[in-house]
Amino acid sequence: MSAVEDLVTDRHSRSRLAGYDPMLLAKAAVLVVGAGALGQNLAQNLALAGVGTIEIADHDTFEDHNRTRSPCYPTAQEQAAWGLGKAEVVARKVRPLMAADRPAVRWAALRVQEGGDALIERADVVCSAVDNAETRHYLSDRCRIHGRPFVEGGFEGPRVNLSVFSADPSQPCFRCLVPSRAGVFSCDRYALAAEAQRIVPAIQNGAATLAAIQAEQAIETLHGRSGLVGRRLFLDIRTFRCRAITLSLDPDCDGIHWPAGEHVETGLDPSATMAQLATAVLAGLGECELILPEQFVVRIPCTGCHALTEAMTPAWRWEVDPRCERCGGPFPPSPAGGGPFGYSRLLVHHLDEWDAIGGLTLRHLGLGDQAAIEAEILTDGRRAVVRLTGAASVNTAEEPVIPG
Amino acid sequence: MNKLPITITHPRSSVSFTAKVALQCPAKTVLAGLQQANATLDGPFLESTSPGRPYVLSLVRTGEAMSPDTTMAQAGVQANDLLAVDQVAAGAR
Repeated sequence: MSAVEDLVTDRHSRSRLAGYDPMLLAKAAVLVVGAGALGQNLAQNLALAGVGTIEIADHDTFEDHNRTRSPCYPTAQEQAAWGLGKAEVVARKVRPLMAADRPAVRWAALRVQEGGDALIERADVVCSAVDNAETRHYLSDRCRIHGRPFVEGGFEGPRVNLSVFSADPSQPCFRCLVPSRAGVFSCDRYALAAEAQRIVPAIQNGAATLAAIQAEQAIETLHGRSGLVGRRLFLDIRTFRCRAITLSLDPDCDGIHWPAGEHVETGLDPSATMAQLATAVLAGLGECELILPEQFVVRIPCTGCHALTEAMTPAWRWEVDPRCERCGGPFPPSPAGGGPFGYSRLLVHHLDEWDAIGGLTLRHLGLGDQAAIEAEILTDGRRAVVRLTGAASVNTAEEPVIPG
Repeated sequence: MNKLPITITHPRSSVSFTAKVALQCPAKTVLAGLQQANATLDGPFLESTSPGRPYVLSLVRTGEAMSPDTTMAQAGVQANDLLAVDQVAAGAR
């Protein structure tokens, strides 16, 4: 077959000319966290580029105001067939666009924290399309623990930002760029806060521009050649102001900057109790401190009535659903660093100190399927990773379902 | 204290601001100062930032960002250097 015939008959001929390896992309899996404006544009670009497996995680549902920046907004027929859950709708609408020969698209209609580490471990590259720092911090840490590159972007109106964070713990992470955990917002509250500050969070042209760059960097990362590793791109699509700076490793960063250590398989799934986990960890590592992926908030003072309210929930879940049984709130952001209000670290040799949570299931503590928990061994300061089992519940849109 | 004249650019406009900054001044102090009401005769040079959308200070000559506690001296800032302020964007929906 001639080169000209190849160009006519080979679906991937242009991709090859552009420097893509279609075989490599077909075998690759990319996790897209967030199926809003950015996530939809990103998933479409990855699908068209020939990425073989795309997983989409989002708990949210479409609302009418999303139409102005949602290329995957469902028609009335699609709404009747699939509902309004963003993850499922986007997965189903992206599936017919996938150019890989044996494509797979899966969705998880949940917050990524609920999905445990299985979603991240299955991916070759993790892309963040979320709009809150808390989830970005979570993903940054999870990617480091599992050795996955993290392609993180955000935009506000015409201004778009993007970084690729290496899995190498000696390199800068997202927490080096956005260090503070105190005062972070859930994505549900972010939009309201942004509106109050007259920030325009999302326009389609910003989303589409950022998604194009983010998809290209995810693909470049899959090929092992991203030029944005450890850097930050700032681009304004109205003024054409464009800068790329080299990020610095913050010596005070509380992200993951230690080399991958020993992995301890507990054989426990998230339905086991904290006490069972402690017993397994003591047997496997000896006395150590477990570092929870998210702070577990035990009590929090209500800023309305000043009463200490029982929370007993991971910080991300508290941010989503804060409540005071006495007055209804409002509440402060969950406190950073644990202290009297919760736990970020659990000393495994002081089992009696956490009677209150010893009987709780690991899922209640915010540890999902195949969760990897950092552990600092007290005797020598070494770091290890404690692993749970379990299978994340995801749905598959292997065959497109076209309503009507 | 040894101070250097530097010029700082705004993250969203072509406006710049010239000031003298102490070599031992960390980046976070510079950024906090630029958000104060008396930063310039016209008020703050930068709007107050909100959680998850921090400002990032970088040295244009090297293209390197400064960590919050990095001092001007540690970053290698010299007299008449240009420092850029950028802001992390957090939206996605």
